[in-house]
Formats: sequence, C-alpha cells, structure tokens
Amino acid sequence: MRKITIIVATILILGLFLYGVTHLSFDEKVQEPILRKEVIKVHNGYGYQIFSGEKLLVQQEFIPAVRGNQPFQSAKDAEKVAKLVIDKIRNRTSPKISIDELKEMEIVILGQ
Amino acid sequence: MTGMKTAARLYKSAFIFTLSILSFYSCSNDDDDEELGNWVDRSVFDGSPRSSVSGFVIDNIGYMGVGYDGDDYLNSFWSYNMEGDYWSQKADFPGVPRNAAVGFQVDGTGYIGSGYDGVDELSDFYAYNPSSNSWSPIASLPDTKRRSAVAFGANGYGYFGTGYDGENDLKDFWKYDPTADTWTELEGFGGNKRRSATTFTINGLVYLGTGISNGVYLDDFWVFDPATESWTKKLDLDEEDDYDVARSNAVGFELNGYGYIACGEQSGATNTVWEYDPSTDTWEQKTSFEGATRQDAIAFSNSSRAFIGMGRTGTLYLDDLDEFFPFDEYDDED
Repeated sequence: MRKITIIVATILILGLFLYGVTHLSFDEKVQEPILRKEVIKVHNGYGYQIFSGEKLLVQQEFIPAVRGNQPFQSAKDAEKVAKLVIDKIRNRTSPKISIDELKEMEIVILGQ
Repeated sequence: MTGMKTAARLYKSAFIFTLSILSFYSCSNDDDDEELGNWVDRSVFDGSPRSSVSGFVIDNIGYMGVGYDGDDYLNSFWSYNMEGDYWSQKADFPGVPRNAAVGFQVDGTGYIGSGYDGVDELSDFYAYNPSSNSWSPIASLPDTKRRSAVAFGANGYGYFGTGYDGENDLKDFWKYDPTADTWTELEGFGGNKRRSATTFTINGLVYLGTGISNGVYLDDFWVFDPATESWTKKLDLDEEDDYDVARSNAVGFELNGYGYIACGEQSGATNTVWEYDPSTDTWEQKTSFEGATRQDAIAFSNSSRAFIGMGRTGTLYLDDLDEFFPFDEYDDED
C-alpha cells in the first residue's frame, strides 16, 4: 500500500514538473508583442530597427525607397520614419514608405 | 501517522497537479485565440483576387516587390535577409507600378519586367544592382507585351516565355543577353501555350510546368538544358492517378536537389505541396503549407533553405513574417 502511494506520488510530482515547464513556456508566448523602434548609428549617418518584442522585423541602414545606399543625415530623421513604420504596422497596413512621405516629413535626402 | 502525512502530501500534489492541468488548458486556449486573430487577419485578403509580386534571390537575400494590394498597383521593393530573418525596404522599382511581372537573377544582378498595370500588359524591364541599391532600365521585349509569364536566369542569360498578352495565351520564349542588352526569340518549346506557369532549377536544368489556358490546368512537364538550349518532355503531371500537381499561380523552388511546386490555384486557392525527384521523374505529396491557402505567393530559396512568402500581393504585413518558414525539416514529418 505504501509502495503504491509512493509510486503514485512520484508520478504526480513528475506530471506536475512537466506541466509546470510547459506552463512557464506558454506564459512567455502569450505575452503581447510590443512594437518598438531603435535608431542605429551606421557609417556616415543613421538608420533604424523595428522590433516586435525581441524579434527584429525591419533593419533599415539606408533611407527606404530612395535609390542608392544613403543613410539618414540625423537621428531625428531616422526616428520620424521609424515611427511612421510602426504606425503603419499597428494599423495593419503595408509598412512601405514612399518618396512623397519622406518629402512631407522633410527628411534630408542628399542630391535630390 | 506517517500514512496520514503521506496521504496529505498525495492529495496536495494531486490538487496542484489538477490546477496545473487547468492552467495549462487555459493557456493553450489563450494561444488558440491568438492564432485565431492571425487567421482573421489573413481571411480579409484570401477571399479577394490576388495578383503576384515578383522577385529573385541573390546569395542569402531574397528580393521582392511590385504587386497589387487590392486598391493600388505597387512599386515598393523589399529585401529579406535569410540569415538575420528581417526585412529592409530598398529603392523603389522605377517602372510603372504593376503586378504579374516576372523576376529573375543572372550573375548577381536582379531583373523585374513585363506585367500588368491595371490597363495594359507591359514589355519594359529593369535591372537591379544589389550593391548600389539602384535600378536601371534595360531593353524592352521586342514586339510583345505580356503578364503572367515565366522567367529564369541560367548560364549567364535570362530566359522569358509563355504568359498572356491581353488577348491570347502564349508559348514563345525569349533570351536576354545582359552583355549586349538584347532580346532574341528562342525556338523549340514544344509545350502548350499557357499563363501563370512555374519553374524551378535543379543542378543547372530548368523544369517548367503547371499553368492554365482556356480554363484548363495543363499537365505537361518540361526540362530545359541551358547548355544546348533544348527542351525535353518529362512524364505528365497526371502520370500517376494520385498526382494532383496541376494548378496555376503556384510557386516553384529547389531545395537540396529536389524541386517543389507549392500553393497556387486549383479552382480556388490551394496550400498543397508536391516534391519532384529529378532522378526518377516522379512526384510525391509533402506536408501542406502551414496557414491559409494562397495563390500568387513568392518563394525564396538559396538551395539549402526555402521560404514561402505571402500570396498577398505587394503588401507586406510584417506581423505575418512568421509565415515565412524553412522547409528543411519537412522531409522527416511526412
């Protein structure tokens, strides 16, 4: 009888442990991914990264839509465009940036 | 006394165990809800007619752009870094926004051209230089405009053929010489005229199949040898009774020496995947694409990893990025 009790208890504790592990990993998954932006320093200027939680979604070392490998001239410019990208992802629209939008935001583009 | 204690411990364990199960289920319910949300997001688009984006792969970067989002024809252009699993928006496509264009790669340069702008079929082509992130116009197709064609790069040349010119489905093929910047017609494709066909390249040989003409999904399957520029007929796509490969608007790609035809349209969008073994000229059904059925998707493969991109036109919803997934493990799961 005592032997059975010990066996049952062992199985239960093992089950508890297994479910505990699963439970913890589920907790992490359930968290809402938070969109955030980070301005990065690149050669000759600035770029940005967009993260969903820990996951890197977009890395922009150069100004989007613009021909050539041209970084942002200021951290402020990179931040403005990154914010617009996040707004677009939140609104579930395509996160593409157009030349017109860059002009509206008065992003400095050299040689244009 | 000891027995009581043990029993108490036992009941306590059982109680926590039950709680754990309950919380486990509640968590998995939460998880289901989250997936359901994604599914709703997809269904908004899956019911409406889709038109394809175009792209190519250079080294470990997949490039895709243009397309139609249901409202507008697009000219934005993106790169997907397979190693880092992230996107970057590149220089806008310089031609008129379009869909149903072709994309191919020759010696490290990408090309996008032909297609449909909502009014007319198109014949113009542009070359993309990935190191300078810049586009330049190249020679247009002579005498012929079209959409829903196929194109591939092989042996230092681009090849382009089949498609729809606004009146007829076509079967002619053209060869682009990047050095001379010229298109010349290439005789010898013995297959039927068609639109929305698919190709993949295994060990330098290009396989072409699927597509539709006059409402019929075509069953013939061909291989092109770029060294001799000759076409050879392979076994039909309905050779075995259980084959269900024929379709249109599918994606084709190569992975670890096998060819794949995935997703597309079979009187409605499908998510089935078929694997082609070139050594035996046979097809085998694989695990279906996870997620919603789709047509006009895009596939990026660097031969060791493959990703299927949303058949969702040029709109790129970045929270759906987890839908790009490698096929590496799938052989084991069948």
